[in-house]
Order: sequence, then C-alpha cells, then structure tokens
Amino acid sequence: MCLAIPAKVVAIDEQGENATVVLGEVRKEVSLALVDDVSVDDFVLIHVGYALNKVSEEEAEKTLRLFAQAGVAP
Amino acid sequence: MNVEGEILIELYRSRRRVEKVTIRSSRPLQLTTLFEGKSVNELLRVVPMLYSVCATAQASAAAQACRRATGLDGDVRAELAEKMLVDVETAREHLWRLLIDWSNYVEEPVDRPLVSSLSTLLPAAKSACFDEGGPFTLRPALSLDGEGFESVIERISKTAAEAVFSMPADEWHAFDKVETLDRWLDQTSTASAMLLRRIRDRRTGGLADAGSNPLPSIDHQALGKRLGDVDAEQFIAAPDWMGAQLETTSLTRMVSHPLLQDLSRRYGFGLMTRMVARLLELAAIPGRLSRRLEGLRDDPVDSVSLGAERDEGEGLGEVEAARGRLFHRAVVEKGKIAKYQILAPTEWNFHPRGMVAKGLLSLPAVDISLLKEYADLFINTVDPCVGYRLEVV
Repeated sequence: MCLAIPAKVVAIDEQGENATVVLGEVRKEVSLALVDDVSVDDFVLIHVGYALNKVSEEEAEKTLRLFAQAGVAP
Repeated sequence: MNVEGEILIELYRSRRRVEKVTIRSSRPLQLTTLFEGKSVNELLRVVPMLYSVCATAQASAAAQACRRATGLDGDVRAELAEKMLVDVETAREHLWRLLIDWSNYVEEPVDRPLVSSLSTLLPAAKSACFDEGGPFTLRPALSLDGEGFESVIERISKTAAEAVFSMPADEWHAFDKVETLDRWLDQTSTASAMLLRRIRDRRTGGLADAGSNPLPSIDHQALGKRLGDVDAEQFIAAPDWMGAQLETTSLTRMVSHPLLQDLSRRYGFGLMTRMVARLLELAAIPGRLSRRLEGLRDDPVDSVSLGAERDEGEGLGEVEAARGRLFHRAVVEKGKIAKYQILAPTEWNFHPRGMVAKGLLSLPAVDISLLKEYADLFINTVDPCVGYRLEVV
C-alpha cells in the first residue's frame, strides 16, 4: 500500500490548480484537484503528484519524524 | 531515498512483440518495523497517518488485527460500521479516478469542484457512525446517525448517477449483457462512457488479457503461519499462495457478475472487462451501504461489553480495500507490538511473474508510443494510484 508524505505549500498557481510544495530539500509541483481550500504555508499529504488532504503542522512534523525513525526521510 | 518508493517496469521489445517484462519494486515494505515496541493504541493512531492514501482501509485492517491480538474483537456492529466506512473510501477512490484519470484519457475537462467535494464524504460518514473517539480504536463507540449516513449514500449515488452512469447506479448495476452495455456506450456522453466507447471502437478491449487467477479466501491461521516464517520479508515483497501468483482487484471481486461473464466471452479479461469491473463495483456500493445501514438499524444496541484486554496474542486483519485485499498482522507481547506486518494488494498484482507482468507481455509492440499508451492504461486499470516508472528497452 502506498505512503503519502507531508509537504509544505510554498506557492499556488493563478488558477489554483497546482501547488509548489517543499519536501526536504526538494521542490515539487502537485495537483490540488483532490483538496479544497489550500493556502500557502498549509501542509498537505502528497502522493504521486496529488495533494490528498490538508494536515496540521503538528501532524506533518510527527509523520516526518516517523519516516525519519524508519530511515526513509525525504 | 524516495519515501514513497516506486515500481520500475521494463518492457523488452523485440520486433513486434514484448519479449520480456521485469518488475522491480523499491516500495518501503519494511516500514512496519517502526511499530515494534509501540503500544497498540499508538500503532492504531500512527497507521492511518503513514498510510494515508487508503487510510480507512489501512486503519480498519490494523484495528481488526490488534483487536484479535488483544481479545477485543467481539463488537460485530462496530466492525460492520467500519466496513461501511471502507466502502465509502472505495467509492470515493473510484469516483476520483474515473472523474480525473478517465476524463484526462479522453481529454474532457475535469469537474474540479465536484472532485474536491468528494473529500468530505469520509469525515461525514465517520461522524454519522461513531462518537468523537472515532472508529478503528480497540473499543470503538458506535453512535449511529442513520439520516446522516443516508445523506452520504445519497451523495455517492447522485455523483455516480450524474457524472459516470447518466442513470441510477442500481439500474446500471443490473446490466447483464454486452449488448446492453453497447447501447449505453452509444447513448452516453460521460467521460467513462467515452473512454470505454473509444476502447471498443478501436478494438483494444481485449488487450492485456492475462486471464484472471483470483486470490481465494485465505485461512487466517495458514496466512499467520506463513507471515511468521523466516522468509516472510520475501513473501511480503512477492507473495504467492501454494506456488501460484494471484490477483486481487475490482475484477476478482466482481468476476461473478453476469455482465463481466458476458464481457469475458468477447474481450477475455482484457482492458474492457477490467474497466467495466470498476464501474460495476462503484455501482454496487450505494445499494450495499443501504443494506448495511438497515442491518445496523435493525439491531439498535450501541454498546458491547468486551471484557478485559489481553496483553499477549496474535491477530490478522483483512479488508477489501479499493485496490484489492489488504492484510495486517499484529503480534502483541506485554502490551506492546512485538511484530507488525502488512501484506498489500499491490505486491500480489505486481508480482514479477504475476498478472500485470503477464498482461504487459501480451501487448502488441509494433509502435512504441502505442505500447506505452496501452501499458499505462492497463496499469491504471489495475491500480490507478501506484507510483511506477515504465521503460521500453
């Protein structure tokens, strides 16, 4: 089964269709088709090019810590 | 390292055919070792955070496994309500992929407000079934709001009827002949109908036919024993059962439906039959949810006394997730997780010698771009959210 990774939204295009997220040192473009009401500085869970849902910063940090414990940090 | 991992699929082409297919996975299947030493409650909190793509199915399998391991698996009504939540997740997943991926294939605009509105289905369904402690805990507290859940069913039904079937889902589910499907394809202008019509008219509906070898019902004791073997890691990465590579998808769940039986006579278990299986599964969900809701209403006892929690034991959870059957195994010692394993449908379906490999091997390879197009569509039909990279060598 598939993992989704928390990432911070740093930019959203004019149409509100795609966002730039930061994942560790990497920037990625993701689609916002599956989520409503996302703003810059929100955290979203991303999977194969889509933001799946919003999460709080606290949840995002906890999840990233878990990945880091498992040695698979982004 | 890429956290999500991916499946690398290489198609070796020789003249006009695919000569060899290799499938290699870098999916982080051993992430579950992270749970060892955690309390059961902590595990149940963390699983849906990590595996958030099908979080409801994952949380359900985890809760079942942990309840069985700790002797708290007696609340049949709560487990039925949790199955309803998994059904809602499956409906949402199917709708998302039909409304996005299938629209993209036929270059139709995606209805973005409709797609994003589906993200509210599961929160609404959860709050209509459970109190604020939520589902998927060791002792979930059912608190049924029947009308609230009916409105969730109604939303699924209405979306499927308007955006996919152009008719009520239960009427579409009653189709039992290829001719009926053909008439629907000719008369309907949704993206789903357009894509299937294109596949029929281009005579590509029989492509990627690798037959179907469904994963049967598996005895939990036997599977628990297999997962306890020293080579369990290899088994989880490339599972077989009694030496056979098996499939677990919408097709294997719906294969006895009369329409699929009839379609298989024209198309085998190629693209058309597989794609229609997903539509049939979506069409079946509102009716199944209504029957399950009636079952809960007919027996309005909201609490079950489960007794004391054991601090040692082993349990297996089994859930039909959107992409196929999912198993979790928990071994609890002294109240902590001593061993935790997840056996996911992706690993059955993308086994190096499994159904996807065989289907890809059967594709025509005269034209590389067409080969890639067919391969992508076939993989999407089996599992629309798996991260993969396809290379033609």
